[in-house]
Amino acid sequence: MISVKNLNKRFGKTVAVKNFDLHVKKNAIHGLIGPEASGKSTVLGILSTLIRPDSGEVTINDIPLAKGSRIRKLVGFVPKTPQLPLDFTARRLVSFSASLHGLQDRNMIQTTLKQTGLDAVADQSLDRFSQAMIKNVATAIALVHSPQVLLLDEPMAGIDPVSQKRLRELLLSYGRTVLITGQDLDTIDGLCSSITVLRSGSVMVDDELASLRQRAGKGALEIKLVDVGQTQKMLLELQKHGARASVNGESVYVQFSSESEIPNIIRTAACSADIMYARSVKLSIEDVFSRFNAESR
Amino acid sequence: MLNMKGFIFLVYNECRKTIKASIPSYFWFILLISISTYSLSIEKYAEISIDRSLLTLKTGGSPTADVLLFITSFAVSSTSDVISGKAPQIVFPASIGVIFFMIFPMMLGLTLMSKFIIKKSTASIAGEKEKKTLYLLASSPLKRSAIYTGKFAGIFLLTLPMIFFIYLASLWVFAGIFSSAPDLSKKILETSAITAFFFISAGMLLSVTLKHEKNAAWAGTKIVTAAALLTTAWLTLPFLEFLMNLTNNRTDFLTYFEKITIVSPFTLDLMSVHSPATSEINLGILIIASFIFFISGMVMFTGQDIEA
Repeated sequence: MISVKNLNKRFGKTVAVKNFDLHVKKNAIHGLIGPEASGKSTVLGILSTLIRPDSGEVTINDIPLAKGSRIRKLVGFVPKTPQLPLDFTARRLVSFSASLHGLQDRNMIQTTLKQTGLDAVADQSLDRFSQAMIKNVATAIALVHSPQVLLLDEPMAGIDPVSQKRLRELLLSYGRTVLITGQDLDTIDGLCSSITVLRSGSVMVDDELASLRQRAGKGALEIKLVDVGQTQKMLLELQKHGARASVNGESVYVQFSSESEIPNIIRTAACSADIMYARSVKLSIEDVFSRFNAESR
Repeated sequence: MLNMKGFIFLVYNECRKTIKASIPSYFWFILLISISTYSLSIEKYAEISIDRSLLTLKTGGSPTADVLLFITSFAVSSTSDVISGKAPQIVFPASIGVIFFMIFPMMLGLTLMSKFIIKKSTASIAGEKEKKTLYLLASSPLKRSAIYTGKFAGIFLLTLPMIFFIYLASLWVFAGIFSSAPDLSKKILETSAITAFFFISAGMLLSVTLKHEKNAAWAGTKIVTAAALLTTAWLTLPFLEFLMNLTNNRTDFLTYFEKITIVSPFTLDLMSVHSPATSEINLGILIIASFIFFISGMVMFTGQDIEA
């Protein structure tokens, strides 16, 4: 369980995190979503005790952040772009990390390497690894001591689809508290039960994912017309039927909460304009921002 | 409570990752100290006392004051031989031989060792912060103070071969060439170890304070060079005073200058080996300075944010 109250952190004149609250339930997978420079990495840096907060209360499994050594025994951290000493092999690095935790079980190290897809390359030097493989090594380092809490900073960024799938399966079966960050909702789709949306260091939304989708809409339908001149007419027709529609460029985007709404939307649109194509677009972070910005006014 | 296993692995890893790169430094160190130590054996030494009444020097604390006294004494005593056309045969007193050992092999060894230490210690924190690999240690259960101490211990272990070799060289000279002189090998060992401690503490403080490894290494190298230059100046002071006395110039400023040169750790090293009576104070100053640097560096490192 992670509990954060009124966390603040400033780097010089830049406010990285401001009045940040977070509550992650025990054994839940929680997403921390936000655009670049929204404070996600800073929050994870503070939780992993690498960064000292200016103020605020943080506890992990009821242990205060001040007890850094005890916190670090519980926590496994994977940075966004991990930098590792390249003259090590994956096996030696994971073994070294295990040793720092007072562990030397070779079977456990081998299992961790296998879980992260590194068993075939474990004895190769890291200078031959791609950035994606180095990220897998960093994940193995974080997992080797079976931490109670996993902190993953944009774990899906820069890794191949096979590794992404492996990581998702691993996280879903892990059964412990996981805090994962990302820049879009795709990262946490099918993974997180709750999310916190950050912008400029402050919490914008903190909710169960199902509830958030209901409030912001599950997705959007992009409709492109044969004759762009018919756009306004179609837009008015859709809005008359209660659809949340907006124009962006030459396309009209219509938000929906359930996929069962799609046939009705297309039927309504087709009555007022000639449709070139219609395709489903996933709910984006910008949609969440615009939705919740509008709500807050 | 310290995670002892983790700490030992940290120290082992710190040694392991740089031992290969240290081998050339060890090779040159051994070669240069061996040559400079062996060259002392070419001269003849005897139990000869030095007439100290010939000269009175204000800067007489330096070991080279004894060398100057001997040269003056030799010049005076061999005047009659020179006048009668005989070439004087110089035989050094064992005490002068010991001073030669202090100034050449020992100082060379300490300077080379200090430069080696500065290179390793400035890379220990600044280098890893720059490469962003420090998160690996900082996110482990080890406390920051343990990480700092572990890195310190690793560098000290890497320096041990050099300290040991200086000790071996001193054992050889005091057992063989200067067997009639008091055995200072243990004092030299003590001095070398404390000097290593001093420069590791200073180097690591620089490493924590400065962001970039290059800047820290540059600053550290300049400190070692400045210290060596100050000690060289201290060693030449008696000769300078002698020359200025010969030309009837004032020499008061030299005593003030002498006080400045004592700031150098190498000067304190030479003073503690040359004058065992004052070595407790001199080495004590080095130890206190080392602890201040060590604690300052550790406190700063503990409060710093680590970028991952």
